[in-house]
Amino acid sequence: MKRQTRLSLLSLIFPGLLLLPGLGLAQETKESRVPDAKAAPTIDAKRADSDSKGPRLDGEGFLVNREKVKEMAEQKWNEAFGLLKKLIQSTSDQDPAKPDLYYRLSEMYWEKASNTDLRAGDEDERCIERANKDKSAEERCAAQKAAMLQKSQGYRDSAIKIYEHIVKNFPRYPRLDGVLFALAFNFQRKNEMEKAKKIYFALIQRYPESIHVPDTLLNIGEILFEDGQVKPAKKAYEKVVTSYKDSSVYGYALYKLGWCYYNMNEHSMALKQFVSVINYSKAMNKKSGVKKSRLTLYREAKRDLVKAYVHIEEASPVKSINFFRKVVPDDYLELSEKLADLYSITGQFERSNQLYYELIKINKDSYKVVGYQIQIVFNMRNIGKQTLSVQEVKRLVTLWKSTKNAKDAEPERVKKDGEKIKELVQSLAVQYHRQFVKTKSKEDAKMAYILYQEYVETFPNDEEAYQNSFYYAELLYALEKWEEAAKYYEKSLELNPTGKFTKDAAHGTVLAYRKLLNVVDKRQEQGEKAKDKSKKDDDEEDDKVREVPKPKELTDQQKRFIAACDLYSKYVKNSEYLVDISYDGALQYYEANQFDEAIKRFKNISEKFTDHRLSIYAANLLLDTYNLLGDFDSLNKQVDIFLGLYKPERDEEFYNMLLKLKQQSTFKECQAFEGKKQYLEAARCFYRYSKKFEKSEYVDKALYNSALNYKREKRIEQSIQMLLTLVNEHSNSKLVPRALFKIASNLQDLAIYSKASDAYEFYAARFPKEKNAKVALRNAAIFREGLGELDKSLENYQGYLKLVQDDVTESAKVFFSIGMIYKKQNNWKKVIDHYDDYRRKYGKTGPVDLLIESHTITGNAYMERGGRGSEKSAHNSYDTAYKIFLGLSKDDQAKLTTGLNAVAEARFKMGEFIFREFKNTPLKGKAYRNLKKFIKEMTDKIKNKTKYIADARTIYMEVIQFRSPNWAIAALARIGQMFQQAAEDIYNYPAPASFDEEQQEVFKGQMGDMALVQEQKAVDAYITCIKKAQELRWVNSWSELAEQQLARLKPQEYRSNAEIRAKANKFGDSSIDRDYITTLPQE
Amino acid sequence: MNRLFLASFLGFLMIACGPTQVKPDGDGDGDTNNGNAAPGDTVPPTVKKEARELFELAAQAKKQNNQDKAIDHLKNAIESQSDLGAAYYNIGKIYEKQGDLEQAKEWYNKSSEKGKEFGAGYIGIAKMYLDQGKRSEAEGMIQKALKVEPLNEEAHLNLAEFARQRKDYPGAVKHIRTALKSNSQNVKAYEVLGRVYYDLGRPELSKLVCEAGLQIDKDYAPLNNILGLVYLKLDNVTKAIAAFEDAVKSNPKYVPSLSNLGALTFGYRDYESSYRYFGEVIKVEPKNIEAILSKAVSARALDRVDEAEKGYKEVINLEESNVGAHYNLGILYQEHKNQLEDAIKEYKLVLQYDQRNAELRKDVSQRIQSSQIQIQNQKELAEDLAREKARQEAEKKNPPPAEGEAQPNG
Repeated sequence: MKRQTRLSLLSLIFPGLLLLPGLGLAQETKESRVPDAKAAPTIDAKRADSDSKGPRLDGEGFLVNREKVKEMAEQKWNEAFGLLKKLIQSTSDQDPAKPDLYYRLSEMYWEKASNTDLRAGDEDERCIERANKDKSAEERCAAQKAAMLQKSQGYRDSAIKIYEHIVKNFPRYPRLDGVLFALAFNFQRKNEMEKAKKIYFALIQRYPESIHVPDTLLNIGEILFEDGQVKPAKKAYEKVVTSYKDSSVYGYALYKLGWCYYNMNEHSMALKQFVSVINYSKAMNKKSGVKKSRLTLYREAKRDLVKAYVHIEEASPVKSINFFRKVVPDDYLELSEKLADLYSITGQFERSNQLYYELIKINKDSYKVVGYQIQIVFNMRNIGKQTLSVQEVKRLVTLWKSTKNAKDAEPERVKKDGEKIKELVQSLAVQYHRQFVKTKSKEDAKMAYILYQEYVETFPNDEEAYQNSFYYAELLYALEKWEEAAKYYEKSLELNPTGKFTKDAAHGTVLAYRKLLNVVDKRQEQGEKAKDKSKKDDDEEDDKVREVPKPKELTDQQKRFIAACDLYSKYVKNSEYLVDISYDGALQYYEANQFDEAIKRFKNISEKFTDHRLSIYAANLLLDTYNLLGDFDSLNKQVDIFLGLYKPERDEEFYNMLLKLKQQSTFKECQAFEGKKQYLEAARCFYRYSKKFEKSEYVDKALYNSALNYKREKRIEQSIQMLLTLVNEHSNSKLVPRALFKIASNLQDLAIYSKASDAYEFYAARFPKEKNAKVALRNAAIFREGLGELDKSLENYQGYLKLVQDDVTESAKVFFSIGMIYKKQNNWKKVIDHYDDYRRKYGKTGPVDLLIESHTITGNAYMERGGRGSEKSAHNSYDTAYKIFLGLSKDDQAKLTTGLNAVAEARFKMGEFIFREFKNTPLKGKAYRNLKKFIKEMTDKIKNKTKYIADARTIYMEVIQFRSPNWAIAALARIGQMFQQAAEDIYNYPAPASFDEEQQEVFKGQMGDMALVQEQKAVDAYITCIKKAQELRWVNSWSELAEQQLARLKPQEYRSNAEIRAKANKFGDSSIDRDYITTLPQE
Repeated sequence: MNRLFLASFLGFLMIACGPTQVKPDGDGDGDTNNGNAAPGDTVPPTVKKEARELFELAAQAKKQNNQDKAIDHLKNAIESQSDLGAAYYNIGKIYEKQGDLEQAKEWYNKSSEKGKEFGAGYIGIAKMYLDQGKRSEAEGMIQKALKVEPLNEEAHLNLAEFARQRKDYPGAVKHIRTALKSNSQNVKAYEVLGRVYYDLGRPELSKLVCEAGLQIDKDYAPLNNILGLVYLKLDNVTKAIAAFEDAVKSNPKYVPSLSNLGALTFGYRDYESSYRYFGEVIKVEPKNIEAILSKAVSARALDRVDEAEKGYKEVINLEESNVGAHYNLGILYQEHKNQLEDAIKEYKLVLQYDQRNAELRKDVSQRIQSSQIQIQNQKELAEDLAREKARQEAEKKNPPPAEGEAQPNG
């Protein structure tokens, strides 16, 4: 079976026009999906305390001699209140105790008010808790609280009234300072600051030594501070600090002084104050135990250290840790954290980060580092250094991963942080991704890449993994990281095969692999290869059998690519790229020689999507695959299908190609028969082809192949008919010369030598330059010679000679053969002239055998021609042949073939000259009376005769050495003949006339004896001749002669074989029938 | 020019390959291929799978020399497909080989009657007729074969042979070419053609044909044999012997080559070989008179006179009028056994049986004469010897006086 190589079949049809799918056509593009903007998670914005001026003093706590408000039971209070009221009523105004009673009453109101305030707060808390976010319940709680506060206010108003009553009515009340203080304080509580201030000033004025003065000063300071009058407030506080060091409000005044400095932006002084407060508190706690108020102050001062520190520019964030460690060793870390926090809040992000870095170092094994790092991230974002920001995010992820199992890592916290981090990473990734899409900045891409990578590695399977994998893949694709892109597209598909990104992910996978596998480039490569191969195939005369390429293992990438293509096809039903992708998948199988799959896919594309731009390419590849596999049956069927599907309007070129393919595949089918050695079928198939596709460019080949196959099946006549049709009807075909030659050779096979000669001659005349022209002429010459048509044979030899004139040896042989024709024609003159010519032309260059032969033949021709001088000329020729032989080296002599026979003949014939002379020299003497004369003459004559024998014998004996059976036997027989003749001549030599009877008897006897000697020699020669014949397994007229003469000379020893016996002339049985039939003809 | 030439070719082909048959419905060529093959390309009849398998089994059985089994299988094949001519034919062939000519004839007949376009059966019968010397009957069967199968190769080759025998060489060639038309690889066609050219005195052409045929089947003995004869014609005894030996090598029972070798070896006095070769011929054809005769001559040449005599007498037993046997016997008696009276008797039989060969008659007459002279001489010699013996005996009884002694009378 003969197959074309990959795509060469198509290239025969599409020479140079095999368009590459994808080149010059619409490129499949991938629309890049951009993630929706995602808000970054808020890192809890630390708010600065609303009261930047400082804490509000809880007044009650600092009132002199105020014990902690005792909470009296309601009933008890009511009882006490009632009693007091009665007592007041019953007590006269002049009673010096009355003012105390009023004071006591006012205090009761004040306590009640305070209690109610406290209860309002407590109950509100509980109520809210019970409400459990129920708005209506919460409203009821609020209403309830408001009601209680109002009630409290009522008590306070009542207390104020009593205080005013006392001041008004009891101006000399010894405790009026206290009354005034309380009255001012209550006004202060009611936010009636001017009234409060007035009363405070009056108090100081009227009672400068009062124990309430420090508190009064403090409260004045508070009122001024609240009013924003920091400097006057400061004075008031300073007064307390400098003049009332033992006062219970000293610490608070000290603290508030700090706040004054703070508000005056003297943060270092403020810091100092706060440190002083802390030291004071510590000292006082040591001295007189821990009190709540001092604790609060300590706590507040501690807290406010941070507030002050944060504003001190010169203060190093890193050094703050040590600072805090010194001041508040137990809480330095907390303060450091707060400071770091506050740095951030106040926009000092760098400083905040410095402190956080330091904190991370200190707490490296603690989960706290996560919190720190979160802040760092936040700070970085605010700084605006994107690269660093991303690095910090990366670091955050690392820290979170490394510490989430730390001892202090609370699972809930870890989980929450994880969520936040995830969100953060995702949002940043998305942000950078979106940025990259707009800016195409490498930096943005890099950031997004890092972030996505972090995300997918850290949170591979979370609920966002699907879309993150997808977007990551999108980014990777944009960055032309094909393999990674493919991987993450696949991942997203794996996570959710039917998600909203399925189509894009499937598409992206396909495209990524496509890039990876250089599919477009390979198409180009393939196309080029196919083009080159087609050119080569076009030039070859016969198609060579080529192996079906062995299937190759698909690479992993290919497999994944194919899987991606399949997935795409499965999930993306109406995509415009469906066919392209399906095509690429098919191409992978095709390239890997996995043709079953390739066929399925190409078939699907080419049959179902006939309008698609790739359908024709798919069709081409499908057909080519069938061709490669040698599956011409399928190829043919497919061509028929395509002829039904694709009309000329769709693609005229393709359509024409199909038509041609139909022809070609049919042709190949016929060739397939040849491959299976079903020659008869092949012949018929090609014949049918020639009938069906009369206009096909292969019809001449079909006819030729048909002829060849008929010949193989020994159907010469049909073979000739096919060839004749080819020659007659397709005279322009390149195969015409070969066809003509084959016609001649077929005729030769039919043993129609005359017609074969005609055909060969015609061929050689028409196509003298064809390689078979020589063979044709040579055959024609031989056949003509065999047919006895010597003139024509001559002509052919001469024509052949012209063709081989460059080959000296061959032309010598041909020229020589021409001479043999003349010989057959008995044209001796021509023979002589021709071989003279031969020797002139080829004497030195031609074979030695022929040279010697030429002389011998020339000699023979002279002899045949006869005439004057012919014998001499003949002798010269023979002698020349002989001398040439003698002139050769032993090796060259040993190499002779026909030359040896020729020189043997020449030498024999040289001997024959002597023999003729011998024969023509009768042994007859004159009838001398003189005996002496007679004897002398007789002796001389006998001597002369025997000399002839000796001379001839020398020559004849040489002939034997040439190992030519025919001439060796002839030579020996001749020797015998000569001796025999001599014997007879001697025996018959007449006695002298003068001899009487007795003398004649004696003479005869003597002559007889002499003759006997010769006769014996003759016998010996004949015996040798016969033995030689036996030895050489040769029989000819000479050996028969020798036999006959021996029988004559020695009848007792050598009988002649006169019997009638079989001759060597037997032919076989002439009747013919069929042998036992061993096989039946195939259908 | 081309067309003219080529047209002539076509015309030639028509002539050379015989006229084409016209079907009754007017279609030319007698083709049965319905246009699916070239004209003249006949589609072989369909053979059923079962029949084919049985046929093949028969071939195997025959190869194993199990003729009965072969016949059974063939009969079963016929049952499966009654028009399977080849099956009938093979049965006939087996019977013929076994010597049952009646059965053979019957099955051959059936093969051509029932077989589809199968003329070989009739040819088988024709050959049997030819072997029996029934030439006209044979020709009749051949014509019958051609009727059912116009292009039957064997029929044409037999007709070619007939034409050659009557020296109608163009006719012979025409038939041969028809045979070659159907099967250019038919070596028998080359054999007949080689013989035709040999007869025509074109040894070189004959040689070409033989060589062409031997390229098809280098072991085809008949072609090697003809080639040998051609070489003899070309006076190349060595090559002739080689060709005959090739024939015998490929077919040790090929009688013509064995005989030719016997004759040639005798020619250069290798009597042992000659004796052996003729002996081989006799093994194959025990009643081959020429071989028996020639072997006897070889025996004589090896001085095995009695064996020679036996051989000649065997020939005479087979064929009383065999001139060669009588002649040779005459020579034996005359030259080797000194039984001159017997020799003369034999010679006279020669003269009796061969009235036409003048040379032989002359030779025989001379031999008779010389035998008679020899008899006479022997007789005279015998008489002389008898006389001398009598005289000597008489002398013994009456010795003569010594020399010088007086005689009573004198």
